[in-house]
Amino acid sequence: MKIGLERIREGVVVIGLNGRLDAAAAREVQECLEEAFAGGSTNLVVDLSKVSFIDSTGLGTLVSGLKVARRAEGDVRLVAPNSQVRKLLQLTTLDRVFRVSDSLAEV
Amino acid sequence: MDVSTPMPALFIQPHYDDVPLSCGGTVALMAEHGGSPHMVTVFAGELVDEMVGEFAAWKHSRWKVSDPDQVQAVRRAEDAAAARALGCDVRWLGLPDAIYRGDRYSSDSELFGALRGEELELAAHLAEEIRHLPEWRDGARVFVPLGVGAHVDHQLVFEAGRHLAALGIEVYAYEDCPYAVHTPEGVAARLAVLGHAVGEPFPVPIGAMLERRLEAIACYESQVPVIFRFTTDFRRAIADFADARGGADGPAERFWPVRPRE
Repeated sequence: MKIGLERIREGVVVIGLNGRLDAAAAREVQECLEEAFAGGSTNLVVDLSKVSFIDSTGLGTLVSGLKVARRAEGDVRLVAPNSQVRKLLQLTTLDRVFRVSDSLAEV
Repeated sequence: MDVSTPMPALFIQPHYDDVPLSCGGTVALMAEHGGSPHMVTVFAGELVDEMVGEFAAWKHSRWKVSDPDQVQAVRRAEDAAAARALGCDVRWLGLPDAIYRGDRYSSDSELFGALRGEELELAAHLAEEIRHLPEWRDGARVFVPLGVGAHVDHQLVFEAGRHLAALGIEVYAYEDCPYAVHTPEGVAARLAVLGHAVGEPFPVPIGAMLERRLEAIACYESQVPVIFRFTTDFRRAIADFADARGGADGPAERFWPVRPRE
């Protein structure tokens, strides 16, 4: 999986993911989230527009990140998930947990 | 089913402890024969506040859970220790337990009742996820719970097994313990519901691997007093059950071939 990290304003980082967010990629993504938190960012925006598939381990990584963000009174927002990602969010009812936006412009 | 030929195998357990409790002897036997069994715990996702609704909060108070993160850390440590005792490893997936999946299940009768329709889609997803795990190998055999006791999470994993069977994968259902131990009539009840979804059962003699299974179960220190509240001697309860399954062949564990959805 390819991962990009860009600070767009004070305390807010966009993490762009490209590829499959699955059990094989989860650790790398987890490390990226930790790096963002360690750098002082408490509000993460995860750009999923180029994520082709997500599994429950990948979702778990995002939940784990959300927990850390919440402890620092921050948030993790998801942007532009494809239909498979949206479906899994709905099936797991995690669509009630994450704030989801259609595009980065809405963030 | 020949367990003496080394073959890859995935033992899928809905919650921490289901595989060691139900078929740990077979896992240990496969590991002994040079196979590469892996345990996969499905409903091992982390929690955030919004996931704990009224029913889940009530469950937490009954279970005396004040710090879910601490509970998860303990459960994972126990699961890893049990896997080591059986000679395999364990992977934790990130799906939320039934009580954390919104308001789909809001009472014990619903939790041990019919699987909600949308959950069949989640089972199909789970089947795909299993096939793409790093531990997956061509020719792998997959083991899922039969669903004795009718816990919806066990039913969901069984349905994932049916999806895998439809792809030509060898799938077997194990006899959920301790449900089958303390409520033997639950097996017949579940089989009546399943109809032709499973084939004829067969025993796998586990011999000395019974001790490994008991050792693995004992690793779940936080759970043993709760799971085995119906007995003062869990080792005797499991050993007697395994002896009864094997008869003259000694202790055994029972499995059913899983058939695909028609």
